[in-house]
Amino acid sequence: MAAVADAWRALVDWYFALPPVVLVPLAGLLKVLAVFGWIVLNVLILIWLERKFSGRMQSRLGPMRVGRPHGWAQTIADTIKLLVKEDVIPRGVDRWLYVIAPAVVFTPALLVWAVVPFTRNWIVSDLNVALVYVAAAGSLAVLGIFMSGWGSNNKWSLLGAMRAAAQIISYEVPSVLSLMGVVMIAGSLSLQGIVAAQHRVWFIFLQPLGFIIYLIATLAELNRTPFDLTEAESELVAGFNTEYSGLRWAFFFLGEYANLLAASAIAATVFLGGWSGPFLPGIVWFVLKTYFFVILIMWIKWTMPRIRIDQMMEVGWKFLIPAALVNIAITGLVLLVV
Amino acid sequence: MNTLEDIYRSSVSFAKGLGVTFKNLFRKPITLQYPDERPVLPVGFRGIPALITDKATGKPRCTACGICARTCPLGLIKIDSVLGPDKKRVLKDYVLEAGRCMVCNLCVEACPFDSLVMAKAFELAEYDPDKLFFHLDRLVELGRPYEHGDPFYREPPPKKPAAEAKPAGEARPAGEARPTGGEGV
Repeated sequence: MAAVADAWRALVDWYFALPPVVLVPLAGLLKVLAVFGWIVLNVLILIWLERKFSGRMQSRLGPMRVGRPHGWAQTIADTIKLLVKEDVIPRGVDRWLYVIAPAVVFTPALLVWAVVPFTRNWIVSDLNVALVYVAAAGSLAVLGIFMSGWGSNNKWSLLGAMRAAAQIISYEVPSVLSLMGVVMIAGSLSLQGIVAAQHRVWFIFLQPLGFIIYLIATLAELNRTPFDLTEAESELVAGFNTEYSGLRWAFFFLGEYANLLAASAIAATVFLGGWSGPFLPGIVWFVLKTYFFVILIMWIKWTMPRIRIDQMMEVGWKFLIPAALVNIAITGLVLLVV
Repeated sequence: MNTLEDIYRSSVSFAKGLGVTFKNLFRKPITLQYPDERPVLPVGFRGIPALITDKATGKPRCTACGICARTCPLGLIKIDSVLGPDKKRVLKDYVLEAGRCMVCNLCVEACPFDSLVMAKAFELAEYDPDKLFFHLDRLVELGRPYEHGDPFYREPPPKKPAAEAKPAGEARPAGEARPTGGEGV
């Protein structure tokens, strides 16, 4: 054991003694790999969790056989299956768009994680405009959806993509506006600053209306029920996913869950106080709070029916935006008075 | 205000829906994990017909009368018999095409000697379609648990003396051993 500790110490010393021109990119690379590993691991867990959780809520069991205790290896088996499928590119598609779209959808889900604080010291990059970055990076996924819808040369895909684009763009505004109340109280756009500003009381209690608006807007951003009209399995085959199979489809699917994880992490950081909390180490609190939101979003998904596209638009523009503005007004008033 | 009332009502119904799914989360799932757990088959379960062996004689009750073969709507039953020395039919082979049997129960109902029963056998898949023709030995084998007769048909009640003749139009007593297709219609 002592030999291992000595070797570890030697490695750490060597690492920090590297010249900055090597150390900085190497440190960045290691952070990126760690976050990427975290995301992939959690996405696999999330898919399994969704299947078990939804099964239990429907009086059934979910995966049980692949990996004997409760099918824990189901997602791994599914991923391998998707990897070895034939890569079909239909003849009439716009080749460039069709091929690149899955990457464009998956990448923004990864980009958001650059600013998420895992604990006090673990954050890839503590941007002081982190929330703006999150809103911006999260919006990029729409491009990918649009690309896949148009590039698939398929009316179902196009229809699904149009609806998805309309939905996501419409709900960007209330999503960001609802976070403005938080920013006003915290006085900072940086996520670490927002976590620090919650050391007395979490923002979910100070901004209940903002939280609800953010939750609804996030559900719409993630294309999850009640706002999953774009994937509406019963209506549009698979919406913008229709022409994709194998690994390309897997990217869309994994991207959806990576987005879910990212949105849960942001919500946990902004409204529940991120990694802060008594007794337990920061990372544990972070995981608990993120998974609280994950479970909440899954719970809503498997309870609610689907909303029509026109109802969705109406709620987004005519209800949520005014509500978010009212929230900002009230927050401003309270801050002025208190 | 109308909108506020709407908001309140929809939030309440939303919360109720969440409550329902939450409660269901803790209920025992109704899934039966099939090869490891088998379903409990009810008494009247209709599997493939089987031949009952009479406990007393040790031979199948079937007298090769052929009524079941004539009753089967798909004509799946083929009875092979010879006239014995005492002019009684002796059953040589009884072939049932189990691959096409729709378990309609008509053969069981038609048999005057109660020698057929719907056995609870349904896991009968074979790779070779010829194996789906069940012969006498297989059918007797399938009928072994039913030596005491078909559990689905109850014994008829003891016959009432003629003095207590029932007025016309009253329904026949339930539990007759020979339902004439009226059961469950």
